[in-house]
Amino acid sequence: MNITVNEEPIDVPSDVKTIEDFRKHFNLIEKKAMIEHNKVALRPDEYTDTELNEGDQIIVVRFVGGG
Amino acid sequence: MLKIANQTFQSRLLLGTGTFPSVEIQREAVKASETDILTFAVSQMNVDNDDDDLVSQLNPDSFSLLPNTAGAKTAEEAVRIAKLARASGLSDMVKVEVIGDDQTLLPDAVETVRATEMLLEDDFIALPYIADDPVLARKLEEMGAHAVMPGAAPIGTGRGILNPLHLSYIVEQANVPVIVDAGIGAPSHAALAMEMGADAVLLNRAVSQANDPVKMAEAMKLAIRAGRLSYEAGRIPEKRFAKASSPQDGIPFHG
Repeated sequence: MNITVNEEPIDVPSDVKTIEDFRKHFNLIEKKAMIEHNKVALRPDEYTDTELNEGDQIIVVRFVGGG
Repeated sequence: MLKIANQTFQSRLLLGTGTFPSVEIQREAVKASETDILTFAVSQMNVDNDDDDLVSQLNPDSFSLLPNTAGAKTAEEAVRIAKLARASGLSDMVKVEVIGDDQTLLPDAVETVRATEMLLEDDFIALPYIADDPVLARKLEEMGAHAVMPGAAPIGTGRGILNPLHLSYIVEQANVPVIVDAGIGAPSHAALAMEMGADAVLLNRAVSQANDPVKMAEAMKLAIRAGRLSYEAGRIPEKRFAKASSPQDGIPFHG
């Protein structure tokens, strides 16, 4: 399935069906990453129920140093 | 005690987390500063190769997070960043930062007001970063901003309070915390802001880029405490002519 991650096209296996699957696939479970799905920021309790579909846009961010 | 919305903080120093020479030095500087609030930016992460987690490396139990919306040039971008930051579940606070000029990094007042309005609508604790404009500060407070953050000078310039008169207007009229943000270079700048009645100071490079960031963090902590104590104590007014501290009568010898 083709999606975009941080504005780059990426092909993910078809068993990646939800945002939670996406997190597992990219080893994000242990990391403090925040995820936006089609321009909607997701709370952690929404990861499991949010389905991933062809053409979806995912943004993955984290906190970095800043003032 | 600093009170922002319904949260209280012991320290009146807010410390940025950018441009430290190393995480070890940063950790020591944070400790020396005794800050309760650290600011962070939000940035895209490389999903294939990124193990960097600054928040975890800085003992997150000991401070509150103040994410900023750095990088935003429009209200919509700021809101998007703020929502991602809140999705961490770590903080409802956000420093609303919408930059309007690449060279001076001065904030875009129009977009900042729009972003603040949208964020308040969405129940954020919104702390807008603004120029030292008393009218803008008042309007943001009237909209419901939980604090106002006037800049002392452009970000990273270290020039101190360029317009003390405007800052005094902001401080005197405000009913929400005034956090002087940006442009602080030396402890004397931070102390002056606090002497004038600012509720807190946010700084980053003044500490992170000092030759000894740990020592400078302590210097800033002490300066901010000293300035606050001075404000509470009430300094003497300035006079044009001398006023003796020693008695003028009863001196032993008259020429």
